[in-house]
Amino acid sequence: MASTKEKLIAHVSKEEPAGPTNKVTVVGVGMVGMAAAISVLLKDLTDELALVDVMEDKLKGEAMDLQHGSLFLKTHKIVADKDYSVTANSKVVVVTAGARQQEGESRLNLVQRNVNIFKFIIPNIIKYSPNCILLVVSNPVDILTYVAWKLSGLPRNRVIGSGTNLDSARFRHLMGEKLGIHPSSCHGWVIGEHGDSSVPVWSGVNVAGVSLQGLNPDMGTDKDKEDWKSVHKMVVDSAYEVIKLKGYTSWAIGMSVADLCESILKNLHKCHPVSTLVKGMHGVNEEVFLSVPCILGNSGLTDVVHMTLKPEEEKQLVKSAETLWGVQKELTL
Amino acid sequence: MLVSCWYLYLGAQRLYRHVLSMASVLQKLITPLFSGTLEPPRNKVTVVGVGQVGMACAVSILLRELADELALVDVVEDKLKGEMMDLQHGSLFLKTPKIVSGKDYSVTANSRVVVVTAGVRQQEGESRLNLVQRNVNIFKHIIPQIVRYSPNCILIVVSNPVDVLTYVTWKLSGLPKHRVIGSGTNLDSARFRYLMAERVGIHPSSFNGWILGEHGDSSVPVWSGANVAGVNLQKLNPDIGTDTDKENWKETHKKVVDSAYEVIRLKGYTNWAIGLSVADLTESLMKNLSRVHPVSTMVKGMYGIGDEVYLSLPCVLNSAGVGSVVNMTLTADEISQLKKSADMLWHIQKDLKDLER
Repeated sequence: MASTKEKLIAHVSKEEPAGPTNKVTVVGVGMVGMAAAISVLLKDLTDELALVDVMEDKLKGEAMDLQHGSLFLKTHKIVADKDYSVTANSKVVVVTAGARQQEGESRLNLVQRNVNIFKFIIPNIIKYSPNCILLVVSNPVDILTYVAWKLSGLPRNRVIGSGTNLDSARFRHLMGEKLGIHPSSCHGWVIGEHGDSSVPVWSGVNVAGVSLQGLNPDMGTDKDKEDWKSVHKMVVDSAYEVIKLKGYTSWAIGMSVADLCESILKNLHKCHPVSTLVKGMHGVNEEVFLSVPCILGNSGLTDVVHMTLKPEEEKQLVKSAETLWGVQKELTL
Repeated sequence: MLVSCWYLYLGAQRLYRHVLSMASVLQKLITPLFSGTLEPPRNKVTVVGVGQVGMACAVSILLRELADELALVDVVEDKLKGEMMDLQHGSLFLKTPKIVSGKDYSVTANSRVVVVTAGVRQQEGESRLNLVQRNVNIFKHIIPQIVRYSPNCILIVVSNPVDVLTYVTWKLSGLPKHRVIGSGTNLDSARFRYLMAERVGIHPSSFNGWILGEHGDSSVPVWSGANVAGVNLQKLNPDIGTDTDKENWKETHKKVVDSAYEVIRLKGYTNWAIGLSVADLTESLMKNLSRVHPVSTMVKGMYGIGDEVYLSLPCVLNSAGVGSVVNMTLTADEISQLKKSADMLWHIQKDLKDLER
C-alpha cells in the first residue's frame, strides 16, 4: 500500500541531493548568537544554518523556535547539535561562544576564560569545515581572533574578527543623528581595538565626500565647540550603557555580523572595518589583530586598505598593539 | 556718502566672515531647502512590551523593512531604553530612520499598526487560559492609551490567551471589530505547515494547511483543506487526521499543540517564530496586500456561534484591517469543535470585570 507521500510525490532526480552552498554555523546560542542567527535568516543569506552550544536543552529549544518560523523564511535547513558534525561544510562560522562582560567589566578581563573555551571549539570547527571562514565575535575580540587564528592553523585571510564594524556603525548612527542624515550616508571609520582605545579617524569623516574636518579643523580635539570628540566617547561607552540598561547587547552586534556575512557569502568585495593581522602596518611590530578597513569576499579577507593616518593616530594603534601583545604573550595556547 | 557706503560694506563683510566661522559643521555642510514642519510618519508601527516576544516582533519588522518609524513602550524603563539603544545602534543596517521609546504613550502617536505583547507569560506547564485575569488588568491600562494616540490604528494582539485578550482589547478600545486582530492560529498554522512539509520533503510555503479556532489546546486542523499543488491529501488518504490512520498524521497536529510547551520547557519561552509570524501579518496590513491569514476575529453569527467571541478563521488582511472572512467549508465535526471552543471562551469572558470603556 503506497503511503500518502508516495501517492502525492514521485521522485525523479537520479542525482544525489547536493550539499549546502552557503552554509552558516553559529557557535553559541546566547543573546548575541541568536541575534546573529535571526539577522542572517531574515536577510536570506544562507541555505543551511547550524547552531552549536554545550547547553543542550536551550540549543534544541532555540533551533525548534527558528524552525517553527520556516514558513516565513528562505532557509531550507536549520539544524542544531552539541556535536560539531552538524556544522560540516560551512562557508562561514560565527563564533559567539564564551563568557560575556558583566556590568562595568572591561573586555580584556574575559581573556583567559574564553581562551580555554576556544581550545575546545576551534579545532572542532576546523575538523568539519576545513575550508571555512571564521568570524570571531566573542570578546575581547582582537585577542580572541588572534587565538582562533593560532588554534585553527588557517591562513590569516580566513580568520576575521568582527572588530570595530559595530563601533563604526554606532559612530555613523550618532553622526547621522547630529546631522539629520541616514547613517549610510554618513561616513566615518573607527579603527584599532574594539573597545576603550578604539581610534576615530577624523580626517576621513565625510558626507558626500565633503570632509567634516575640513569644515571644522578643531574636530576631534578638546577645543572643538561642537564637541565631536564626545561622539566617539559615546561609541566607546555604548556597550557599557546598554549592558547597564538591559543586561547585555545583542541586536546591533547581530545585525553587524549579518552585514559581514553578506559581504563574504555574496563575494561583494565590500570594505569593512574588521580585525585582522596588522603586523608590519602603521608601525605595529607585534603579531596582533586590530581593525582596519578590509575588503571582504568569498575567500575571506583578501586586501587591506592603507589609511593615511596622523602620527597621533598611528601612535594610538601602536599603543593598542602593545597592550594586546602584553596580554597575548601570557596566554598558554 | 561713498566713504560711508564703503565702511558699511567692509563692516558687513567682516560680520559675514565672523558669522561663517561661527557656523556649525551642519550649517556649512547643508543648505536646507524645505523648512516647513516635518511630515508625520506614514508607516509607523508600535510594539507594546519589550520582552522576548515584543523584541522578536520588533527585530522582524525592522529587518523586513516594513516601517518608517518604530515606537517601543513598556513599564520597565531601563530595559526599554536599553532595547531602544541597541536597535538604534543597528540603524546603519536598517531602513527605519526613527526608533523611539517611552513609558508615556505619546511616543506611539500616529501608528498604523500597534502590536500588543505586554502581559505575563505562561510558566512551564501552565495553560494559556490561566493568565486571563492577570492580563485583563494590564490591558485596562494599555488599550485606552493606545487608542487615544492612534485612533485610526489596527491592533494586533499577541499576549495570551490571545482569543480572550483580543475580545478584551476590542471591548476596551471601542474600535470597530475589523481593526482588532488576534495573532491567533497564524503561528499554529505556520508550525503545522512546517511539520507537514518536513514529512513530505517540501518548503512550508508549498504546503497548504489551515489550523483554525482557538490558539491553544483545542485548535482545529482542517484536514479537508490540506493540499500540495491543489492535490487534496484527504482524497489520497481518507483516514487522515483520524485515529484509524495508519500513518498517524493526527500526530502532526498534536505536535503543533505541544510545540509551545516543548519550546518553553527547553529554552524558557518562545519568541522567534511568533515574531516572524507577527511581521508577516504586519506586512499584509501595511502593504494592503489582501492576503489570507488565519487570525483571530469576531466570529459571532458564523458557524452557528451566538456569542461575541474571537476565534481564528481565514481572514483577508489589508490596510483597513480584516477586509473580509473566507467561508471555509468545514465538516460537521470541525464546526462542532469551533462551537465548543466558542462556548469555552465565552464561559471565561462572561466573568471578566470592568470591560466597558
